[in-house]
Amino acid sequence: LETAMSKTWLSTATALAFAAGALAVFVARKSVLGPEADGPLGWDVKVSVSGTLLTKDAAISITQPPDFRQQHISEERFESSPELRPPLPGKGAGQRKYTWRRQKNHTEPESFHLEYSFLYSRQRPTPEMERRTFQKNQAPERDANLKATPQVPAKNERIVRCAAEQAPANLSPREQAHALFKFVAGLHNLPVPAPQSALECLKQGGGDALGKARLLTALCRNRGLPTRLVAGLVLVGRGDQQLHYWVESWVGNEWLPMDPTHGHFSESNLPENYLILRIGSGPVVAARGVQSQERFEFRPRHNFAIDDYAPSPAKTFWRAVSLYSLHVSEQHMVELLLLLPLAALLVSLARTIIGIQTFGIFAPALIGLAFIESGAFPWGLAVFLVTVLVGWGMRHLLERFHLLQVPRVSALITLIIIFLLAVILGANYLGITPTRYIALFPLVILTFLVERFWTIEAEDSTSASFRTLLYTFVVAVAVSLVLRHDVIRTWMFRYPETLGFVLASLFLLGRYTGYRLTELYRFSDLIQEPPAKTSEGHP
Amino acid sequence: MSWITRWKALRERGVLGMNLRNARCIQDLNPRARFPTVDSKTKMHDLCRQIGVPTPELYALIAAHSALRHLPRLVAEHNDFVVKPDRGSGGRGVLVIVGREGDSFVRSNGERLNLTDLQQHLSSIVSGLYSLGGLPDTALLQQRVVPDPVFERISYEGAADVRVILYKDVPVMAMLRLPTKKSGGRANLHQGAVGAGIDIATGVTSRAVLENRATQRHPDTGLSVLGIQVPCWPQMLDMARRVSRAVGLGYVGIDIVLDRQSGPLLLEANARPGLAIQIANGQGLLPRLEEVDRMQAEPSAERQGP
Repeated sequence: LETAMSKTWLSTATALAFAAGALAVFVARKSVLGPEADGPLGWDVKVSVSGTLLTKDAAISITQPPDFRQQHISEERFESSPELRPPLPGKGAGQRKYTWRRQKNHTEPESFHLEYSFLYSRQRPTPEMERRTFQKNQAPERDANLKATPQVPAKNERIVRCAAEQAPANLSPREQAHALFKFVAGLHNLPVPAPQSALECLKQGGGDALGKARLLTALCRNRGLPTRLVAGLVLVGRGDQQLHYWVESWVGNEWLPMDPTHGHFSESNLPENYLILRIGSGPVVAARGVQSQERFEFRPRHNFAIDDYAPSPAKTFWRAVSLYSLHVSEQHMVELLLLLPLAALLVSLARTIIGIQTFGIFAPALIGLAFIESGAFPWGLAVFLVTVLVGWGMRHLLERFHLLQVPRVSALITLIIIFLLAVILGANYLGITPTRYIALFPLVILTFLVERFWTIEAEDSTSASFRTLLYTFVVAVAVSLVLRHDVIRTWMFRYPETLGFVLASLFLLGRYTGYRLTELYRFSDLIQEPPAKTSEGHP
Repeated sequence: MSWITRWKALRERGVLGMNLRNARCIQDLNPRARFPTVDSKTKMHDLCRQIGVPTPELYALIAAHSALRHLPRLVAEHNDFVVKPDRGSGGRGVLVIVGREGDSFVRSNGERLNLTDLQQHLSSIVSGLYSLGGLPDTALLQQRVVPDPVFERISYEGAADVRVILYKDVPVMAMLRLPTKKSGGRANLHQGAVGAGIDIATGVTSRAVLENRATQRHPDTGLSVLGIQVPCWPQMLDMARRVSRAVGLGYVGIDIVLDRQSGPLLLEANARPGLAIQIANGQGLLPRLEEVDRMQAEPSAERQGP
């Protein structure tokens, strides 16, 4: 068994090399980035909405903060009470948003709670952020940012008079904007019981952030300066905060930010702790058929210190190779991708250490991941099982036609999809949304699974194929139970070098020659026997 | 019994586990490049002819649909024969013709087929219906093995065969595999066939296994399967050794059938032979594998022995 030993040593040495490499990357990352290895320096921000769902079509939308300029968003997480369906992304008025809808066919008032959290950091823009910045910083459309609305009555007599007084026509646009800003900033900051319009703010000689921002918008628009409202948070300390409002005016081919409440004028003066949640006059949290309250909470992730304007090359390098630098929608995909090797490792453990038979490696791994994503166990599981069984029935029918393999498998995919369409329509009629549980991705696996199921049935027995199916699902469920924890997801995202340890484990597992647990029972008959005296005596 | 006790007991008995078999025997000793030879029945047939090991006679090979029109001529001389896919597995696509009745062919289960039915079956084999990869395949017309009465008496339909496991070309364990009703005439243990361990030195069956558990009788015929002397045993061992050397696999299972007239015929070789043979013999494989390793490590010492 010399080759055996040398191969085992080679595998062990390689495994150690992988582990050492991973450890080296981990240590290097940790020592250079320090606490920043757990995500960029920034604030954990949480938007939570709670209240009562009133109507059948009740829905809550939250805009996704723009990932642009130096404002970077990562680690999005969603949580909601069971009265709500998982959030769906969508696009509303130029900005992405997430919408939670009520479970179907519920009509009685129900209380609910939801949370949307993310990490906000400042960084040099990535190409994707540049692209978004370019989009958001484009010149205003012709009249959109000059319009008079009830809240922003740019044509109102008092507004017209005030604007003309404060910003005479002989000033340059920038001087006009500055004059108007100075005027509004000079008004009192007052607490107000209800949202003010621009006019109310002017009449009362002051107001809250929203009122002052509206007043400044109305005045600027009246002077022909395209101006838009910006909603966001001023991150000071930690805890709870009201939404803050300021404005941006199109002056000299760029958007000029002005905060009349805190007296900040121009980009260079707007502090880094200004987080933009929404550009434009629409709400950050929109609700329909709901009585609700929203809260904005934040806390700095680390002891936040901005002493970092000239980072060392090493730091710049590790920041660049951090997955946090990706755009937030790509981060979701990468998170899932990083879980796949872990899922495969779990399946390998189940097969090599325990000795469970499954349909291949990918079927249980991918089905397990599909269950994580859908988040809903009973339905996802049911849809999968029923689909496999129906597919199996169809496979039996197809057998009668003696079709060639490739067209036959293609026919099977088509039949399974027809069946799934029927399920989706039927479930929709009953008020369930099964599309959440049927991603296209595991479907291919499903067809393969049906083929394997049929092969085992034909070659061994029906009970053998059902047993393998059962084990495949047991392993898939185990995979999703382990990998659904956010801790694992976040860890893999922060330290993708963990894959080195996964590889090391797989190399060791690949040369594992111990008994499988199932074999301890399979060979029971050999255990109970007293050791027979073998004829070949040992020298 | 705890897992540790079981584990220790298995180690003590020298039981070869699946992981050990896969890593140390198959990965290390069976080069992948040699697999196509054992997986293809025609290649095995050619190999046997080269090294002079008897194997069921090959009447005809049908590799293309156009060759099907010659079928009447090809089968004219043969009253009985077997149709098989070259790269089939698990007994799929096998058709056993035991005789003729006028223009029709009689299957082993009594069903009657006409020439067109037979041509259709061959056509689906050639199209790849029974080859697992789905690739176009070749159909074989082969001599039908008429089981020797010694085995026929104690098995249910199908042909019993002898499986010999060879490690580095040395026979280390053997068993007689008897089809049952449940295995559907196939001689695979995991499909429900009975396996009776054969003593390598004498060729006599001593123990038997059914579905991983020890047994004494065939479940369908009710006859004892123990104490049976396998006919032509030394000849079978010799055949197995020669085939093992020729296929170039370090760990191989050789299947031999016993024909009433032709005697032992090599049926096929398996690059991943199963482990149930240990239960059939009541012995673990490991001590025997180690013995072979020792023998081959110091061949001179072996020769100088008393």
